Amino acid sequence: MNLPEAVVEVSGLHVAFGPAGSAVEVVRGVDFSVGRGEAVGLVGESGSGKSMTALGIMRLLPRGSRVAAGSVRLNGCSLHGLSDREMSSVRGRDISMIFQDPLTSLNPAFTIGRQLTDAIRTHQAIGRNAALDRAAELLALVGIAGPRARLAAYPHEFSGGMRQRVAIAIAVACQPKLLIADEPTTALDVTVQAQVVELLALLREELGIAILFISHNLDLVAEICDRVMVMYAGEIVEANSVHALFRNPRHPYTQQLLRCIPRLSDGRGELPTIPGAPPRFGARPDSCAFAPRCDYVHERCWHTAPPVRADAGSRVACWLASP
Amino acid sequence: MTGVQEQIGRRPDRPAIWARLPALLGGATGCAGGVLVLFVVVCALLAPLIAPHSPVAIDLQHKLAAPDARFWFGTDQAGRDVLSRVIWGARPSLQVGLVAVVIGTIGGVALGLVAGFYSGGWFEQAVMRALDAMAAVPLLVWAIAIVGIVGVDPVLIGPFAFGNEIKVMALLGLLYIPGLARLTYTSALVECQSDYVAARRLQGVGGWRIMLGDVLPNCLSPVIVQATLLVAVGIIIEAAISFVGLGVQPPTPSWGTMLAEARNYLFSGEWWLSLFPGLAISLTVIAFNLLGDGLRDVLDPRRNTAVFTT
Amino acid sequence: MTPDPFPDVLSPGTPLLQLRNVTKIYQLRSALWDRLHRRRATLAAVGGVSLAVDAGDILGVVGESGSGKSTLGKIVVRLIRPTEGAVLYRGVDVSAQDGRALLPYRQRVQMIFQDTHSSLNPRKRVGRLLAEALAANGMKRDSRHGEAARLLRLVGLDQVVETRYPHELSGGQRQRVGIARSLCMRPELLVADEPVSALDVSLQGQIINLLTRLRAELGLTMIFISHDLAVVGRICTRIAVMYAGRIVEIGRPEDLMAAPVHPYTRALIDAVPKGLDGRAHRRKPLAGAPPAPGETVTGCPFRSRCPEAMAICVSQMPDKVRLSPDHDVVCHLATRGECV
Repeated sequence: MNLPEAVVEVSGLHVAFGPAGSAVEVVRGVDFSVGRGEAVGLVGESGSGKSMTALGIMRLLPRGSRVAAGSVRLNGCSLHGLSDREMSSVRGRDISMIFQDPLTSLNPAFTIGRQLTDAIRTHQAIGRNAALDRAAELLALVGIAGPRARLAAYPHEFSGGMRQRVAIAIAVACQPKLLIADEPTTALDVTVQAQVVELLALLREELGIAILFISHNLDLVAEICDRVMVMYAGEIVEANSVHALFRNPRHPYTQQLLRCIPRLSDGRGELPTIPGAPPRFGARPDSCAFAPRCDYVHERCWHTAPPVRADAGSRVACWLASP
Repeated sequence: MTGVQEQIGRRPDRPAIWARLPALLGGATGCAGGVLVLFVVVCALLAPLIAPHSPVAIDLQHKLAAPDARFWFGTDQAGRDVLSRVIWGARPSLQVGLVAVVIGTIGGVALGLVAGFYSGGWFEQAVMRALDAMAAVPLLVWAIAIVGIVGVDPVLIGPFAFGNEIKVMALLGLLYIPGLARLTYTSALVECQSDYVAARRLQGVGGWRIMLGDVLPNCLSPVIVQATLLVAVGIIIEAAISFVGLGVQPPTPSWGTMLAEARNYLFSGEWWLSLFPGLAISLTVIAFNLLGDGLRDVLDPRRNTAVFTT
Repeated sequence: MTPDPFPDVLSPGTPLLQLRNVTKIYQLRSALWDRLHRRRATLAAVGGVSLAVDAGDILGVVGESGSGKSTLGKIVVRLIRPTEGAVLYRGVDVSAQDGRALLPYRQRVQMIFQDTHSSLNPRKRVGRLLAEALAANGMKRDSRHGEAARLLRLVGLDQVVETRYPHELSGGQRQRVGIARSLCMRPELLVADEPVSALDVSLQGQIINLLTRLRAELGLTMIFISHDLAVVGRICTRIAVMYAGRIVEIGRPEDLMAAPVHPYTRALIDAVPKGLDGRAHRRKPLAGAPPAPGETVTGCPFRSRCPEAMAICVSQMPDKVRLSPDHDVVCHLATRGECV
């Protein structure tokens, strides 16, 4: 499989949380890359570390957490050597992010015209009127009717779906190479979710932006992404093209997860589930984190962490795949 | 059930309460404050035992003596030992500080809780607006005005005569009520929307029982912090009131009256008359503030609750 | 003791729970200027809902934000009093009762909440929570501990949970405690308001399977409120689809999923992500958004988003059409016989 040229490469990323003596690793050695114009999905449940991975890439980690090891490269240059000021100019111009709750990701005290023009003028030296024109164009691009008039509106005058569209407009204002979408539709109604997903697909086509789509919903990710990575307890346990992952899941967690998703086409009866729960206080580095819940667990899984088997475009971290 | 059991919380052997106390008090800040507060309280309680001399014994032969081996903090213009007066002076300060806070907390929490729980009714509006009006005037102005009007004679309740400090305590207590009520009110408003309150209603439990048994415990954290800080405020106000002569009446020692008497000697070289009472006030106020800050770090509900599980 | 007004035996044909034209209108606080002109903003959270639940049913109530499904749930358990209409349980109208008179009803109808963080009192240990609930139901002090332990076992929790505070438990464990608490009142009807929405997909099944098992073991009737059509379709015997405070379609899952009649039901089904199949058959998503609170609309509330809207939809609210004994729909298309 011919992978497009990489925009962002993450290697060996470790993110730790807590004071230095008793830190818990929430992201334990994550490797992946996102190519130009690609849509890559990152799927995981609570405690999988997917959001922390994204925040680690953006260097927006919350207080008390930090990147413990690894590197993030944007077009070949490492992001971790950059000063805060240099990193600020990368955010928005090269890599953008949208978040789950549109209520809190827009500032309620400013009009959306102001927030859009702020985003535009941070990275481009253009006048206020030119910025307003561009802002109206962006609103039209994301499907908001009457864009010129809406520039003067405040976030609370919009519904959740429209606020998320505005957040997307702000994120793509300077045509970044990568847009990280962290659970962008989780807080939205399902009919509105479909609209936002369609919008993201459209923007990818028109602007050539690569998208890293983070979600807990594997079906949703499959609708718009070309490649999918599944995370569990801070590691990527399987990564593959969408078709290959759904047709032939190799990691037991992926298999069981696919079985658990309730689908309209299913019959009636008990819902499949994975017994137990994801580890809450950090996993041990010398065993497979999924062992307590795995259907296929055997002796080796408890003593040694499984190796990562990487083929062309796919990876699996399981003893079953690397006997 | 299934063979796989979920880990149920993390409760390894919990260390004894002494070991957990530093964390419960909010780390170094809170502990430092706690230790100092304990020291001041012990001084006040054991004043008769630890004060080297009588605080009111007049000895004009040794008046205005600088600190030496016999009078560690020197003597004042009437020959009274400054150290003993400072130790005894802790009593009115702490009394006023603590009793006022107790009155304010009981009154404030009661009003705020009922106003918040029965939100939307007449009680809420009446009480909140009245308290807002009271809060518009600064504490010290109220205190001076009222004591000025009411006078400084001792209060007679039945066969007992209480010093003038009683008026200050009662007054301050009343003045603390608006702030503490508002604090409880905002917490109560939020907690009443919670599902656990709805669940109790679904059990057929009456309003007052839910209010006292379920909502009240969840409103107390900010109140505890504020109450601790208000003790410090009370000590300053007591000192200020006594300084202007409206508080503790002589010859009872009080840090405020000691400072008032030291006014005349500020520039004539008898530094010990103003330094030691001043230091006492500052240290006690700092102690309560540190303790309050420490408690705030621990009791802030948004903070991760790891403290309770370690 | 309040006497129990509910008959033990239902006459044939009487449903366990019946809602007749239930409406809930909230008066919104309006500006002084509007009030001087007698203009009061109102929010019709639920409008004219009628339905019947038979003993042993699981009724699923599905809708998005503003659909009124949560409000409906709260009306059923009588946390809220309906503005109009009647709530009949075993034939007895409980919509006008309050306070102590509702206690017998509380011993028959209980609720499970969505947010596990706020549904358990953070300052009380689990054992105390359950003991209090049992005490509220009149159980003697000596028997409470044993009963609490039995209920915890019933929901699949180890007895050690009794000593824990809610924040020491995971979301799934807290939800099980919530279920155990609602069972303390020995209910017949359980209203579950989005009980698994806050849980991971791989864990949702545990709670849902628990609920279906309890229903079978204890003979419970359930109302399952959710926004997730797939889950509801799996376990419910009937599904009611709500939009803007009204039921737009109600029927058996087989009928609704295979051949939905109301355009909103169809749009809802289309919007659910379908994985690889969704990639292959891309359908145009429904435009617009669910109505904002307080918005009043003449005619059918769905007309602004409906791909099949007609002239009559603007001016007139459609009537309920009975397509079959188990399938009702509220749409002008059905009235005209134009649906497939």
